[in-house]
Amino acid sequence: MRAFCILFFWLGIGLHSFSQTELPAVAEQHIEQMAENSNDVVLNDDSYNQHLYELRRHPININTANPETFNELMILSPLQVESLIEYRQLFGNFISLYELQSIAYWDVYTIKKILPFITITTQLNIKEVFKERVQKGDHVLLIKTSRGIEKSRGYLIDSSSLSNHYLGSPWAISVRYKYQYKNLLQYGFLCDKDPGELIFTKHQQAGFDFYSAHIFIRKLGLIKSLALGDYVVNLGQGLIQWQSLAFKKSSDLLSSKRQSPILKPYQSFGEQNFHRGVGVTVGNKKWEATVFGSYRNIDANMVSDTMNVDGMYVSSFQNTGLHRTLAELADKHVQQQISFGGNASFSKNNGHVGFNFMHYDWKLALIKNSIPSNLFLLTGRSLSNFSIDYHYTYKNVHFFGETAVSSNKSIATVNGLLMSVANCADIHLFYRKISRSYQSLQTNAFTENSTPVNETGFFSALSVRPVYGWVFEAYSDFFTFPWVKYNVNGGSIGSEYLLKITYKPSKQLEIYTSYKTSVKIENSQGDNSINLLPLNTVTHKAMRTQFEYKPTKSTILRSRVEMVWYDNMTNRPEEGYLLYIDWIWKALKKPIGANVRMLFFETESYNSRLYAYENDVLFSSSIPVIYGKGIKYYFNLHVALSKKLTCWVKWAQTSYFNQKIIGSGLDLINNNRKSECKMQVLYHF
Amino acid sequence: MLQVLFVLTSMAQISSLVNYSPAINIGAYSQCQSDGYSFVNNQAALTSIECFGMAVCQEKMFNLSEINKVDAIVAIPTSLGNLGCSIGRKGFEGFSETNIGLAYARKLSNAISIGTQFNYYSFKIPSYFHSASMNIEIGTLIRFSPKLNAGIHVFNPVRMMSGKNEDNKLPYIYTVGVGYDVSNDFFICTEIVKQEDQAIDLVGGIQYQFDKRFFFKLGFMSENSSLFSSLGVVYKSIRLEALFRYHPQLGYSPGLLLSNHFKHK
Repeated sequence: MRAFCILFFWLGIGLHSFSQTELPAVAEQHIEQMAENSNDVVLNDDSYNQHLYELRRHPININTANPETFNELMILSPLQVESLIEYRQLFGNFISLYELQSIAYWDVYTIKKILPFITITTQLNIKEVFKERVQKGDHVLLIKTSRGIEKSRGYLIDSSSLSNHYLGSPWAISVRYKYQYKNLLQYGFLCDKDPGELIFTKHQQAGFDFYSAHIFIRKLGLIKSLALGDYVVNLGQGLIQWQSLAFKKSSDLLSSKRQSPILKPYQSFGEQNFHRGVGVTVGNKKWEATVFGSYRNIDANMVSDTMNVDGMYVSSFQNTGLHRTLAELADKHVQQQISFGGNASFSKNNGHVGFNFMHYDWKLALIKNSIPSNLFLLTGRSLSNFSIDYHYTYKNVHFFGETAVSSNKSIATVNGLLMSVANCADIHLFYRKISRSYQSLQTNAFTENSTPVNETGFFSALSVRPVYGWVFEAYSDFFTFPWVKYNVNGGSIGSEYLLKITYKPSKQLEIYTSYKTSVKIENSQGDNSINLLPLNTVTHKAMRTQFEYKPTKSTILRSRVEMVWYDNMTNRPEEGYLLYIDWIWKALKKPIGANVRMLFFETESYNSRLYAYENDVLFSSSIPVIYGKGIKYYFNLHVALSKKLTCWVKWAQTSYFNQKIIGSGLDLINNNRKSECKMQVLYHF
Repeated sequence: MLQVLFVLTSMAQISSLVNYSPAINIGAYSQCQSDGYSFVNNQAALTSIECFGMAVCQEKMFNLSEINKVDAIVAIPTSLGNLGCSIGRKGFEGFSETNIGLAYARKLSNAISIGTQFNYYSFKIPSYFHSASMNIEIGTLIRFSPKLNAGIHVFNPVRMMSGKNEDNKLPYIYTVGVGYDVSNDFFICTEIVKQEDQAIDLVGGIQYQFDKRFFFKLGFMSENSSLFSSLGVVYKSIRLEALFRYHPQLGYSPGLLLSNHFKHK
């Protein structure tokens, strides 16, 4: 089923009065861009949001933090991180945050972005730190529930007459407990039930549909990090393993370089993209080694086959994490997966080189249908990948890249550079060449395709700040796909361009306009009975203008207008239009805040769809796919009932004109309205 | 080879005759990075030179020796305005294109320069076809500020024919470009190019002098999704550039540009 909504994350509390519900414009655009790229993929990783939330409560001490800590923020470029470390080595500890202005490659925009997450304190000794780890951390309990008001067909079907229906209630329930002391120690567990899933019944005797638990310790002498339970692994530039959040194309120059510690705790409600077992990183200033192992039962589409030695095989892995129907429950945890891997790296001065290894073993063989687009895809019972990654900074240029090989001896390589060419200008170049037969799992490299396979491309981006208040950003990307891929029955080429101009003359006002155009090749839309559809050039153009104004300290007004033009050379060209107005309010002296959106949209079909980031309850955001014709509104309210207890409520409703039903299949709603309510409680103790 | 020749010659217009190569001419809209070759893109850029200079450029189009391209230019400053001359040839004994151009440019004020060029074109396939034509091109550059320059260039506004056949006409090309010198070392520019019967081409490029002796250029042309780049070295008055162009269907075009060092006014 096409994902109607991409749930996400973000935000925190802290210095900024709107911080609990507001997201920086750049971050919103990243997420919107990810939604556009992901299409059918549902993302529900809120770990980055949680990370920023924690950093706002316990900011990074810039006198002691290492480069990895800064990289994890995904706000600073590698050049900026290295110049900060160099500055600290040269002049000693920072005395004031005002000193940040003196660091090379740091400008006022960067400082504004990072200020909420950093501080200057004196360092505690190891014993004090260890004692504080277990005693002075925060316990946080989060309970979240939501449901769609209008019941879809899946809930209304008579279960005695038809087996394909949703077994559970339309309520979604999530509970998460976490103890955290800065980034040094954390442990917690979570449980989750999606809409339509069962809870505490005979089909779901475990109670909730999904459980996760973790213990994660950092900086324990030689042990840099120790993960027990659920954790994620990020290696190199994402060619052989990357389970954390990573951005795709955007005007932000940081988007292409993958930056993260290798091991991170897993603390999100997503049910697929993590490992379960043990991982440890040891090392000193120059050397570092990581090993990890995992055993999990994962969802897969199992097929009976008497010709197979096991009597069955797996045709695909299931990544939705949804277990609402008998068919979905039948796929639950049917595949046993053992995975292990490691990394050994050496860092000196401004350089780094790492050797990475990743291996998967499955109980049941993965077998694909014999169609051209499947010819080079992953099959069999195991997968191994090996890679070498590097980065090196020479003067004002930062080079980085990774070259990987999969067990079928196919090669993938990505290489890029970030260059600060003037005080007010940066450029970014990125080249990738990935074999059509390269195989990987749970990866997220900087590619046009959702996974690194069958692609050659060159991306270049430019950011110029000619005078205070003005930012010009642009990128171009050219790519070729030598082999057939989903919805493209042949080798194809494409290109994409973006130009964005931002004007921010003061803290109160920000206006930006962007124009993006892309040309890609797709199968022509026509007679589906034809097996080999001819290819067409598809042109997609989008123009967006957004205005944000803060008339008072407690209020933000925001408005966006966006137009989309779509032409697939077969049917009549289409247009899409979106306009929304936001009102965001936060009482200055009372712990209460609210935001309201009114959104109008009109698109001719799904092809001319649009995406708009929506504010949500803390840690969550949604990026609904907007198409059709109608109006949508929502309001969010959050109140701190005490210093420890905060509540959120959200109500959203979409009304479609000229439409009597919404959705399809089991998600079909016999109404022209779709409503959703969401409630969340956060308790600190 | 035959495929490429077919592509080149089957185009309704003899557009391959047009000496348009942004990898070489990117500096026309810069006051810091402008060089002698810039006038090939916009003749008004001739006004930025202050001493005699010459350059030779060779490009092996799509890595095929049969469509090797060689160009040479001379730029001469005079008290009445600056003069330029360009000559180029592409092809082999079985197919060749030749062009000769004479350019003149002068400043109308500190902010505005204007230039023009008269061209002679010859297109020849021995024992089969030969045509020749003359045309004119006009360019102007406006300096809005010490860092910001813009220009307009018109190629063949009167639509001169190359031979009697309509299929052999020289196309008209209108170009509007803007360049910004971000610093003395870094320059960005963009051009919108409208060639007759072709889709609008958006060209974007940067030039960066990352060392006293080294620089590079990088850019793209949207119409055919092609990329161009060059890496150059400067030694006293000599400048050597390795050129590299990539076309997604036709492949790579390596080249070399050797020029003297033109001083800027």
